[in-house]
Parts: sequence; C-alpha cells; structure tokens
Amino acid sequence: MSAEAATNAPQRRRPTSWGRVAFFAVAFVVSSVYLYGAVDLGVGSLSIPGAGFFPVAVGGLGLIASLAALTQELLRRPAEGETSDEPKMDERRAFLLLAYMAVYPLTVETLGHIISGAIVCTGIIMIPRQRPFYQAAVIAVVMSAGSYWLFHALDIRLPAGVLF
Amino acid sequence: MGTEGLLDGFSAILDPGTLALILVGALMGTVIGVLPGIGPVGAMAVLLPVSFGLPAEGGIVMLVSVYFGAMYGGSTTSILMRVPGEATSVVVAIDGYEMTKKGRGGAALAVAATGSFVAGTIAVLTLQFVSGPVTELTLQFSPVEYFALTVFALFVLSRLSATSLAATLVACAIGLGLATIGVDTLTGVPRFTLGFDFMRQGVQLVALGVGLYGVTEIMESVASPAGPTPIAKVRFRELYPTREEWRRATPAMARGGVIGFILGLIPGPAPIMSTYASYGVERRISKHKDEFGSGAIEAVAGPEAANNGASGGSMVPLLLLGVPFAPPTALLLAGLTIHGVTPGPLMINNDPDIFWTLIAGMYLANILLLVFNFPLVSAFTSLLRVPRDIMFGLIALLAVIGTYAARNSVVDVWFLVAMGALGYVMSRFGISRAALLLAFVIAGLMEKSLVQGLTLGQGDLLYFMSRPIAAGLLIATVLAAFAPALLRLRSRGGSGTETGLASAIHEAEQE
Repeated sequence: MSAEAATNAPQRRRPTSWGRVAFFAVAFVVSSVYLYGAVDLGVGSLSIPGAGFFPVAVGGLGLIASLAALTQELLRRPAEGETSDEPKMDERRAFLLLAYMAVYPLTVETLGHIISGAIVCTGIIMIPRQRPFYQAAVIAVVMSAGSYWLFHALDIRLPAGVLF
Repeated sequence: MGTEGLLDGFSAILDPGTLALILVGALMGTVIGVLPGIGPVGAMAVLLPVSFGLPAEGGIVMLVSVYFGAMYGGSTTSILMRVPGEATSVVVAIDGYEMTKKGRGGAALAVAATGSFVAGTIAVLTLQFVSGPVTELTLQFSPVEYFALTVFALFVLSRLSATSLAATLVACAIGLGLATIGVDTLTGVPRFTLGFDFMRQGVQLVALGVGLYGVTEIMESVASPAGPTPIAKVRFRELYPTREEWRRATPAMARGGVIGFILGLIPGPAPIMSTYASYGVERRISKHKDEFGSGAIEAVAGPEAANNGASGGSMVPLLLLGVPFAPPTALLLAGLTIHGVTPGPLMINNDPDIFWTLIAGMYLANILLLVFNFPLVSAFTSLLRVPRDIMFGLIALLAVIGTYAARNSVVDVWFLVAMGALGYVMSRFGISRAALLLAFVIAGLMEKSLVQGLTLGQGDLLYFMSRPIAAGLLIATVLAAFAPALLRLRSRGGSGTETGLASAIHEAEQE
C-alpha cells in the first residue's frame, strides 16, 4: 500500500510526531515570509485588486492553517494502548536516490543525456546493493542510451553534450 | 448526445497508430499498476513525457489508457498476493486474497476484470450522455460560479482527507502559493521570483506532479524494507467463475459502477472512497454476510467496479468544467495543456476531435483491458520478479527526462527534485499530497475568477452570492465545513448515527 493510501485511509489517532511539528513550524515561518512578500506586491482594493491581493489571501490561509495544525499536533495525545504499525523505512536510501537524481540537472547540459543519465541510473541501481558495480554501469548505459534514442524517435531532443 | 461526434472519435481511434498507443498505454499502465508502490498517479506521472512527442489525440488517449490500466493492474497483486499495488485495491485485497487461498483466485481476477469493464463502460456512457446538457449549463458560468466551484472543490477535498482539516489546508496553501510564483498573467507583475529570471516562468505542473507522485513513490519503494513476495500461479482455465459466482457478482458490479461514478464527481480521493462505500453497501444488502472477509465474490466485484466507475466519473469535472477534482485528472490536464488543448465547456466545440477521440479511446481501453488481461495475467504477475533496482533506475530516469523535455529546462528538474523531497516528507507525515497538487492546478482559475468577480461586482462581496449556482456552491462549502462538527455533536447527544459513507468505511475497516 502506497503512502498516499495511508494518507487517504480512515483517520487513526497518533502520538505527537515531532516531524509533523517541524513541518508545520516551517510552514508557519514560510507563510509569514510569503505574506510579507505578498503585501509588498500591492494588495489594491476590493474593486481593483492588485498583484498581491490573491497571495495575501493564500498567505493568510497558510499562516492560520499552519498555526492550527501546529497547535493540534502539540496537543495530541496517543490513544490508550496505541502503537505505531508503520514499517521501518530506510530514509537514507530515499534521500540518496534524490541526491543521484540531482546529478542530472548539474551535468546534463555539459555531459549530455546519455552520460548524465548513466551516472544517475548507476547510482540508483547501486542503492539496494544487489549487483556489482560493473553490471549496474552496463545496465545504466543501456537504459540511458536507449531512452535517448527512444525520445529522439518521438522527436524529443535531449542534450547530446560531449558525445555527438 | 453527440453520436456523430462519437462515431468520428471511433474512426479516429481505429487509425493503427492511435490503436497501438491505446494498447501500449493500457498494457504499460497495467504493468506499472501491478508493481507495488507505484499507483495510477505515479504511472501517469512517469509516462506523461512519453505523450509529449505524440500527436495530441494519440498522446492523450494513451495517458487515459495508462490510468485505466494502472487501476486494473493494482487489483491483480491484491487478489493473488494481498499486496495492493495502490490504495484503491486495499478493499479488494480482503476478500480477493481469501478467494485465492481457496483456489478461486482466477475467478476473482475474472470478476475484477469484468467489473472494471462494466463500470468503465457505465461511466463512459454516462459521460457521453451528460456532456451535452452539462456543457450547456457550464457555458452560462461567469467568474463568480468558477470561483465558487474552486473554493468548493478545495474545501470538500480538505474535508474528505484523512488528516485534520488544518493539515490539509496547509497543503492547499502550499499548492496555491507555489502557483503564484512567476509573472502574474493578470497584471504582468513578477511575483516571488527572488530576482531570478528563471523563476519568472513559474513552477511547471509536470515537475510538480511527477515530483510529488512519481519521485515520491520511488523514494518510498527504495526506502521500504519489503522483500520478494510469493506469487500464486493462475492458469487460464482457472479464470472462469462459476454460474453462482456470476449470479452474485453481476448486480454488485452494476451497483459498484454507479456508486463509483457518483463519488467520482466529488473532489478528493473518490476511487478510494468508492471502494469502501461499495464494500459497505454490498455487505449490508448481501444474503451471505458471513462470507465477507473470508472470500465473498460481491466484495471483489463491487469495490473493483466502484474504483473504475469513479475514475470515469472524475473525467466529468475535468472535461466539462475544466477543473480537475483528483490527482490523475490533474496530470491529464497537464497532458492536455502540453498539447494546447484547454478542457472545459468550450472543449466540445473548440476541440471536438480530441473530446470524442478521448471518449472513444476510453471505451476501447476498457475493452482492450478486458480482452488482454485474461490471457496475460500470468505474464503480469511474473513482472514482480523483475529486479527492483533496475525498475527504480528506469522510473527515475523517465521522471527526469519527462520533466526536462516539457520545457527543455534544467530548472524544472531542480523543481522536480525539490518536489520529490517535499512529497516524501508529506507522505511520511501523513499530509495530503493530493490537496497540494489540486490546489496548484486550480489556483490560476481561482485567482482569475476572484479578481474578475470582484471587478464585475465593483468590490461588493455579496455579488458572489447574487447568482444561484454560485450561492448554492458557497452554501454547500459552508455546510461541508460545519456539518461534520454538528453531526459529531448530535451523535454525542445520544443518537450515535454515522453518515452512510463513514459507516461503510468503518465497516470495511473492521474487516
């Protein structure tokens, strides 16, 4: 079951999550900064709204909602006998995947799609450590070159970089 | 009723190229739907870029086929392995897997496929019949109605999310805020660009959608400790339900299809809600209540039909109002926009070819899924043996290519990475990503209609209540806000009654 499923599943009481507290606290700070910027844009009047009119409403919504969510989270108490049934996740792996994906925008315009894509894929294939590096690299090169030619055939030109 | 338009649509999809795209889309969707962790939205997100280089009709019907295929594929692993490929298959897994344990897994798969087909066809037929009258009605919409509709959509979505209203409204505010980055189309003023030129273009829907769903779902799969799961083998001859099973399943399919279609019109996670609602209804009216939870065929047929009916129902607000009420239709909107098609009341007149080709494509996708999923069920389940590491690499590569290719912009890939991180954090903390995505998508329409409404009403806020549909929607929004609290108070007062849907969900959860 995907996490979205968990999100949409019927509500279950949970203990205060400091991660959620941090999330809503950051949302509160960002909303405040956003609201300040929105007011700066010029709110205008009700009959002639300015560029900042809608953002002020959005910033206000964010500020109030994040404050309410933060308060709710801090006041939350676990139900009696409540335990977490979530499986333990290896967060390091998840963010490692993201880090490898970030290599693509860093290198694609100079090295081109095939090399950048191969670097990204090699890194990601190596995350679960199921196969040796050379095997991962060969698979990654095949996938990257294959995707280049597939999209080329669809008339979508990806950067060729240093190879062509 | 658009019979002529539909016939034109059918002649368009009978073009071998378009036909092949529908088939490829349905099969690719099923393949991705089978894989646990990547749901229909993730499937659409990663395959969205493939549609960019295709002709508009072909690209869009392929995306719809991917969606329908992924919805179907999710039920295969639910029934055979009790591993729901996506959230809509959780309910089907309860009795479907019990049937597999009793050696009736093949029959459950056949009933699920037929239920999907029946519900999909009900939905498409209804969409075809309502398109004319709804279009005529929505052509009367002024900015006031559109503003009321967007407010209603966001609020109802927030109310239907599993987390608290406040938490979902935070997600909505993030989505609305992200949509305001870039040059304001109404005034030409750059907003929240932090002085960078590249920020003037704003955040792209493809980067946001693929990041929030595609990337987040791979991150979750990578981080998940799940190992290989034993797969039940199903032979072709085992796919035939008995006469008694058909007799019990057929009305459940019809009921599920109708429940799904109606719930599909409501903003929020309609396919998921519809499966719970259908399960609850079937359980309540069944003569075999004791079989529920231990392999009742109605508990497979109804929910499976319901989630497909909801998928069809969710097309109504997108195609006829131009407002997506669910993440898959938001991604479909991205696909339509990339091809220069604007959905809404004018679509049926401005782009009749695309509209009717899409409707005909939905018919055909349902038929192809029914025809191919029977003989290919073993092939689909064997896909679960494809090494996960290679799958992760391939999906991540498709995500970055798609985001880059949409505007040839490296900045969009940075946004993709950022949205992936945000989506993962939100998912881990149980905060609705759907609310963020939908808020982002409807923010433009909401702001434009608000500003136009205020200008037309010369600043009078009561102008928004001056038209009956807008007033009705705004009143419904207020009711949606306060009704749950009032119901809670009433039940504390001793009546203890639950709403039908809440009760159905509760009962299904007990199973």
